[in-house]
Amino acid sequence: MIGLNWYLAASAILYSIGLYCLATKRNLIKMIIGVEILLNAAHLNFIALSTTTAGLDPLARTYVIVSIGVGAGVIALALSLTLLVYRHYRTLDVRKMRRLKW
Amino acid sequence: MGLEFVVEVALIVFLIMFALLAVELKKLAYAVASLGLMSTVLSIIFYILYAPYVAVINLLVYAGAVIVLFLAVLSLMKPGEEEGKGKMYDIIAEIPGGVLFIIIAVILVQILTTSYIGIQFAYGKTLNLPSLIPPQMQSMLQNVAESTWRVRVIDVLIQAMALFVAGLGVAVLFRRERREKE
Amino acid sequence: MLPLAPWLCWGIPVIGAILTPLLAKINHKVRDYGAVLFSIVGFIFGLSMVPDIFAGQVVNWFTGKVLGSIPYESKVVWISKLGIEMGVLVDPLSVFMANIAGGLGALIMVYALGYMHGDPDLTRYWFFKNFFIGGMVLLVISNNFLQMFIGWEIVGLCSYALIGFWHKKKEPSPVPDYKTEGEYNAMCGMKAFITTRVGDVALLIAILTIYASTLRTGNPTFNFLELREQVEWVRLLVANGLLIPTIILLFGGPVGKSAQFPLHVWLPEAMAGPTTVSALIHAATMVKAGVYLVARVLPIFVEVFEATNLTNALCTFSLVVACIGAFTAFLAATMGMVAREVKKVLAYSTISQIGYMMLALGIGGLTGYVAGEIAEGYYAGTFHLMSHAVFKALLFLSAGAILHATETKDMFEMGGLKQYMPITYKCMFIGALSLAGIPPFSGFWSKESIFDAAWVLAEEAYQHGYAIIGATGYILLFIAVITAAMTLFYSIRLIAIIFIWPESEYIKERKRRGEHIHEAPPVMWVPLAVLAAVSVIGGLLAPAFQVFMLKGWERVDVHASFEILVKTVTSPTIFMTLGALALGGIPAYYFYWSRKIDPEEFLEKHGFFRAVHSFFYNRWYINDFYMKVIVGGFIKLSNAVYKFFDQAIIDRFNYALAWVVRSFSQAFRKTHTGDLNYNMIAAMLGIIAILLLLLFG
Repeated sequence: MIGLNWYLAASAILYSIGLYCLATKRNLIKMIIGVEILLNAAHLNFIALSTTTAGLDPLARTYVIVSIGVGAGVIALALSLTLLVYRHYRTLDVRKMRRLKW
Repeated sequence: MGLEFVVEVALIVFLIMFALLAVELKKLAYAVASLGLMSTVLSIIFYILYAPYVAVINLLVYAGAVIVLFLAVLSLMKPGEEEGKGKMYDIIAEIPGGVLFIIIAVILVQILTTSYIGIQFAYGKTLNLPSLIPPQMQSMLQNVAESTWRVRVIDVLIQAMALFVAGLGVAVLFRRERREKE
Repeated sequence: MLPLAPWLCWGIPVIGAILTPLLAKINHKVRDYGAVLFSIVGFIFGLSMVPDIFAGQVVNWFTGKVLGSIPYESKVVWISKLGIEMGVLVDPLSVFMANIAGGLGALIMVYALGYMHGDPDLTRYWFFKNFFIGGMVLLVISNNFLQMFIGWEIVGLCSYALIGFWHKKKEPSPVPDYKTEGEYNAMCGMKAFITTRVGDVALLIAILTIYASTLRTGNPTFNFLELREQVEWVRLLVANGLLIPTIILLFGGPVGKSAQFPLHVWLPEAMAGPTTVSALIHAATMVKAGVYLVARVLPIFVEVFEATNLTNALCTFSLVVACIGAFTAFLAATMGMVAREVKKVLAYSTISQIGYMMLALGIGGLTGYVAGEIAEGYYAGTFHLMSHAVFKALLFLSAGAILHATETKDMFEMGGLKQYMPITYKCMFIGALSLAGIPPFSGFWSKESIFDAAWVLAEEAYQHGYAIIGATGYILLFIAVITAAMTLFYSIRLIAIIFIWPESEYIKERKRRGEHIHEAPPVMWVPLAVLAAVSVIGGLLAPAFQVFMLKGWERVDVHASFEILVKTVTSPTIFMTLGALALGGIPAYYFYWSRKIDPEEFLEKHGFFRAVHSFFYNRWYINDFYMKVIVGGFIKLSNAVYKFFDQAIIDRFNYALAWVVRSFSQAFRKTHTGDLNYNMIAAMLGIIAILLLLLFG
């Protein structure tokens, strides 16, 4: 039996971990993992805040359901693009993919 | 203070730990496995927060399908190629990001825990795992289904279409992949 | 009708067109037969509406529910405040045209299975062919101007794409200005597209003017039925002095699309496409779109102008239509008498026959002006449209069979084909007789009813004291009859040169090489036989056709009887017709059939006829005039603009702009490392700033 704050804190820390991952990791797969952690943090926040004594807010839950679906689509697309990038550059290091830069 | 407290704190600790491991582990397969564990733990947390639908979908999609997809992509790459060289942990090289990470974490925790004091958190009477959802909550859960399929039916359908398109797109990308291989 | 027939009769061919590239992935057989199947199913839906017209009410065959009476509208309102809607209109004219387009379309698709067999670009061909059928049916079955214009543009696009269908051909060009035949074909497509565009712009301006005036009266609409009901828009147009310009501009669309006098120059060049395309688009259906539009707006004009006492405007409009029609009929017939290529002869005769239809509709309008009834001319025009669609498709498809067998377009390189292609010979002969208006083929009845309508107009006009219109009626009748004489002349010339004359050097040469000329395969001659049969019995369809076409016209009382045929034959104009046939037929017989007089020698001897011949052969020099003055002038103007505006002003401005942008980006390019992590760190800093604002702000 712990309070709302614990969950909010957990979601905040998850969110920071996601950002941290995006900021420091060079591997594309790792960056996608970071994106997923960010998504999970937001979901946890939604669910925790919608669980009140006044009742469960159904709208928040349906938003999370939709968001899970869309997030999965985004990640799948990112992964397939990663694969193509890997075939092209033979590496997953974002710092070596510089051909886009002029 | 009791069993519930210990279990919940343990879950949150595991959640954060697995998230950190997923970010920090050098071997990508391990990192992905850790991500899957994190999603599983998150699903359990959703479940005890009276969100069984979300929990099940999270389990299916993030702990299941997405992880499979990750592993499939990894298996299509040359072994060894994707792993970084050197030690398992490489924290010192990432100090600037880490500092920012700690700043954000502190501020976010600060904001979130102070802004919502007015909200009465509903969960927390008993931790009775087999019939986790108390009877008065059951009707409210019906509302979730209700609102998914009645109130928000249009965006649910749009989402379904977007997912379909994403699925097609991924299929096309993978297919071109295979063709190039041939 | 079958459920949703007015929507599906154009929806199915369009869907078929979109599916063609997909079917092509399976294999070629599925693609070919699938495309033909879609057009046939679309036609069945169109055909199912015919019983409804006869019954006068629209019934759903499956549920047995009566949906409404003729004219029946089914529509979806899109923006009700602006009167923009999508809908279909089931009335005699639309159903008639939809069946002409759908039926001939399906038949010609079957023929194309044989004719186009083995072409490498068939996917493109089937796509545009089905898309054309869908667009054409959409054009005629729309219930409003806007949607009709969409169909109008679709058929224009398909026409362009199909004329230039063989743009990859590497053979030398028939005209010295271009390197290959493919280039020439592409140019022909462009010429058709641009020439018709002139008319389309006029039509669009007219439609928008009418729409704007309905908008001003507070009841905006494009809908045909609503335009007929409300008359305020006419008053507003008159108050602004725009009525006459608007209705003349409205006629500009038909002039372009139906190849009438100032814009007729594109149709002969349009023959560069495959013969099936010429048959469907440039003979049977698309060029009739203009006739359809005039037939569509004429009753509306009669009604609204009567309601507002503006019958003078009706007179002007009808007079323009009739005069342009008559003049075009004459003009094109003179060119047809001297053309060398089979398909060009047919193209000129198409222009000429469409002129007849316009003439009939104009006569109808004029009769409406003097006597208050347009039914006679309206019926004559639409009946001629039907019989012409059939016999011209027949002629084109026969010509296609001949071209397929001999691989030449020039008819002086043929000759003696009667013995090699007996079925084609018979079918084409029937088509030519029908075209020339020889009794009892369908062309005779329809053309005779036009003469009759002109005669009635003149009589009525004198009776009601309109001497000038009466005189005009006689002049129009005279031109029409003279044209009929020329029509018979070139019909006999066409048949005689291709089939009766001794074999040409070219044919002998081919035979020496062992390439024998064969009769067309059944998939090609069966459609020919069907069309020939309809041409023969066409006259018998007249009573039923009249009942069909004039269904729902309150003022006219028609019943299915053969009186109409008797009336046609006993009309005073019958003697003029027979005289004209003799006038055209006898010289043609001596020149070409019995060859008692050699045409070449005759021209040598008589300088006057030589001059006339070359004048006609060069198409009255109208084409050259357009080429020199309009095209050449435009190119000169463009060059001047290029030099003094484009190069002098715009280019310099762009150089300056480019210089500014380049210096700017040179200065900032250092910050763009291309490293995603830096971008992310910047994003994090932004988030921290926002969070701090939240915390302390």
